[in-house]
Amino acid sequence: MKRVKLLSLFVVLSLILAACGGGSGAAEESSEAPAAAEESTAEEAPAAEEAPAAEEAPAAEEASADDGALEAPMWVAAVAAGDIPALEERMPLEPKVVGPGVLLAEENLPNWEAGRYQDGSVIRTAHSVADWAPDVFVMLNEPALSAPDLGVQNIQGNVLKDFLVENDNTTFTFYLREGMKWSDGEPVTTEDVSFTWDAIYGNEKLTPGGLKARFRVGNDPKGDPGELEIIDDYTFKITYPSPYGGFLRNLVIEGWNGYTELINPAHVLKQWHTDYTPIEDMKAELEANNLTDEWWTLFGQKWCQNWDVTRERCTGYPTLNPWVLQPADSPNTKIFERNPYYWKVDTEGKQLPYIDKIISQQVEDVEAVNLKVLTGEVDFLRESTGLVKVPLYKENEEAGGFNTVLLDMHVDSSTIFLNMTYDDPVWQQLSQDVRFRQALSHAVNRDEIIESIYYGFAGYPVNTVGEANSTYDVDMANSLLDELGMTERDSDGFRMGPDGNPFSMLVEHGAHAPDLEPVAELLAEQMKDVGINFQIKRIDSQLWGQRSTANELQATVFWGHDQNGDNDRLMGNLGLFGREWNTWFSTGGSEGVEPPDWVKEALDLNKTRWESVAGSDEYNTLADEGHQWQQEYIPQITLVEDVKYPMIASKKLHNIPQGGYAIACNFAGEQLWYGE
Amino acid sequence: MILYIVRRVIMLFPILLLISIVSFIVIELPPGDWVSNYITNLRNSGIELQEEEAARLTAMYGFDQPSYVRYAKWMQGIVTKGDFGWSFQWGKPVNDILRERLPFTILISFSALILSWLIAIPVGIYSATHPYSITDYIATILAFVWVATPGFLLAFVAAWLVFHYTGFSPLGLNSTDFLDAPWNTAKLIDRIKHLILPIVIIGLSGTGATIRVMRANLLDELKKQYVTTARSKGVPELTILFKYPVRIAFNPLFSTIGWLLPAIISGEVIISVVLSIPTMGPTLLRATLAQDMYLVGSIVLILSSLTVLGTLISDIYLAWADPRIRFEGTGK
Repeated sequence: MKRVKLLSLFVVLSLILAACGGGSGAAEESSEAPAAAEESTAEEAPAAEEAPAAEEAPAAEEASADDGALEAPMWVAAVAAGDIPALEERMPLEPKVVGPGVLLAEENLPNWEAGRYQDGSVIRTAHSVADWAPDVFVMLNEPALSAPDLGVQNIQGNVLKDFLVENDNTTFTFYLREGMKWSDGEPVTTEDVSFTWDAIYGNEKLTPGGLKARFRVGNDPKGDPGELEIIDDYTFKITYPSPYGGFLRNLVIEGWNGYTELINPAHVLKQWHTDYTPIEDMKAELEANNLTDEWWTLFGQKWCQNWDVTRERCTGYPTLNPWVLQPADSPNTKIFERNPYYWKVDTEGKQLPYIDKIISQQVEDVEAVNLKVLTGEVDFLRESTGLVKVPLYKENEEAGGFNTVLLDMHVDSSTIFLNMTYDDPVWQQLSQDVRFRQALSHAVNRDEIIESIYYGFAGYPVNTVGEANSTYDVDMANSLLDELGMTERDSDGFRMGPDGNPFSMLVEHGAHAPDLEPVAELLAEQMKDVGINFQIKRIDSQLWGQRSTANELQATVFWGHDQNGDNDRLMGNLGLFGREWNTWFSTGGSEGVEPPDWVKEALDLNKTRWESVAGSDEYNTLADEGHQWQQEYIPQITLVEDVKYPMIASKKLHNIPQGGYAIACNFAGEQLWYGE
Repeated sequence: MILYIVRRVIMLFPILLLISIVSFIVIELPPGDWVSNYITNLRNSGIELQEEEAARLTAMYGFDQPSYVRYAKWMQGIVTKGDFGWSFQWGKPVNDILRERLPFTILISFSALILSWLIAIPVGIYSATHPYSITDYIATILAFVWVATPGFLLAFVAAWLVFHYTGFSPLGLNSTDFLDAPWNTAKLIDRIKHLILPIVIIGLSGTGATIRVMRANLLDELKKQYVTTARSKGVPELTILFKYPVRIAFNPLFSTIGWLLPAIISGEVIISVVLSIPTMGPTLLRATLAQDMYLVGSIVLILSSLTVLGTLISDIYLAWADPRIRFEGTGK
């Protein structure tokens, strides 16, 4: 195994050096793997257990003897020692029960099993960005409401116990879980909700723009704001002047949102808020941070929103997550320990999570993360994996003791966006003609892209472009372009514009995802076959953002978000396929350019969908209509759908799904457990 | 001599001020700022931040103020309190980051430097005293290979070799299994095992050049007449060698202290990235990519100041060690 490991190590190293060559050698040697595997695990195992076990050994033995315990052995010991209250006092009266189909749909995880605790169990992972462990963030995150598989169908309670929608989708009553506690043991009440609403969203310094779009009718930054009414300690009501059924969507995980949108630990945050604490009392801390009276900056540095929880500054901050960040002695290690007050149980009544700790090590380069996979130093990894590495993973599965699970990617990869409002009359005339977009779509050889860039792990864009327009048909593309008046060609064989001048489209991309650049290069070749001068240029991703906002991008390749059909078809994409139309829409018509009727049609459809309750029949019908609209007008040319995404999970981990989104499994981290 | 030093020290202040302004301008140059970078990053992970959150962050971190105001505040903190500002990326004061990483970086770089000199100086002397011998040729070839080999490549190969022969993955500071362990002998040994490779690689990366410099200087000196004179008077060979030519051959080495100081602080960036060790080098690299402006500015400022300071120190040393320079310096 050593030789295989080191050869793979060498392969990765040569990949880093962009000099391939060691691959074939590694394959030849892999037959030795099984024989050598045991020897090495035997070597490593004692070292692994020695250290953590040294201190806690006596307690652990005692605890693991009792197999029917409803809490982890470490809590049994802590309760016995009087460090934390008994389990009943730590749990809400009605905890959320996790069973089959609750966190992940049953079709994706058909054999859900209630797990077992294992004292000292650890999920090891790694991250490569400073102070940001995305895999752990995803595992920790808890939205206010939830739905299986990150969807919007069958929305149910999560942090909030339950909800009630009344008065034509205008009144929303929410119920907190009585007895639920923050990770520091303080109770969660509606005071935490009113603090968030009044002291944070209601404060001009903390929220300069006022109430967030998600709390306004239609998810529109200019929409009418909701009103909060506190009924009692565990009940509150949010009322809108007009129907806003999509509000529920804004409280589930979509967009990776968390309970901090609605609930924040008031008991801690009050000490940095001038409504509760005179600024004189903050002087010392302000001064220590080189501030004078900017208390809102101090507040911002203390306040941890859901995506902040892996940051070092949030160590000790009360959360409602399954694991909480612990102080570590190395700045490059993040250790998360189970939350004693976590409010979910399994079907047998055992408090979740099953696993004691998550440890994420920061490495200096993303390739080093993958190296850790090969050497078996990682038990779970999703964020930094790549399809291109699947053969390498597969080869080392046995030696490294992990499985490579191919699941779905949660965004559509690589889509061509034509900015139809780019300041060039000929371009506008062409790009706004649906035949031009159809022609480009027919000119794309999707089979070639799927084979060479996605290794066969992707499909045709049947939802977003439709079957008819995703076929590779050069003749059709040529005849459509001829119809548009692009009949003349220059000496290189490129088509002239309908005005007789040379025509080229500049496709600037920011290489936001690793597949974008190779896809763009392949597209340039394919477009040449129909005489389109498709010029690609890679620019800095921030410059890309600035140029996009300034309507300076003519065309780009980026990812789309429409695979579900129930995502917000326009919010993310309108800015890319019609920047000036987007400006018109977001300024209420005072700036920008009024969009044509076919775009307005979608805007109306969108508005109606926001009024309906997410996941209802009405909603789903509207989502289907959205798909039809999209196939008819092809506002953006999606290249592929159903791209697979590799997830690395230790062979010993249970409750690993076999289908659905890869990221959904992270979101269901609390139900993972180690078996034999 | 004292006058010379005083004059040089006074000259430092305008230079440092200029450096601080240039550092600040440099980090303001790229498009966007930390907030836009942060939002791009979150977006890449799938988190869609809404406009008002961007506005909140911009106001919170003071990016809505003009750059000269931010510069003035930053400088005020440094001058009055030694406070280098706030690192957005790490969410804590820049001083904390420096405190965490500097000692470790200095430890590695300094050990590497000592190792490098321990090898290079004797070899250089030997090469110079036995020119064109077989051993000199071998040393020369090795030195050239060293000079020509990029350190990071050496790091790759060495990491591979270590893994090959011992089954030990030398990346990072500790094996994964020790990350959560309390400090004990096993963890300390593990840490030391992880430090050997970086020290050796970083040390060796400068060795080749030092051997060449040492050999060339000494060879020049050995040909001079005073050496011949001393020899003719019957002074023992070793006494001649170490009393005069070797001392003079050191001068060019010490005159590079100006570059050594910042190098010790920054650590070898690429080698550190390859071996995943948290020195200042990768920190600066990351901070630059993330436009974590005060962290970048502080590191650039510190490194530039050290270069200036190091040049001063080497000038003073040379003036002290070599009377010829001293007398020229005071304009005798």
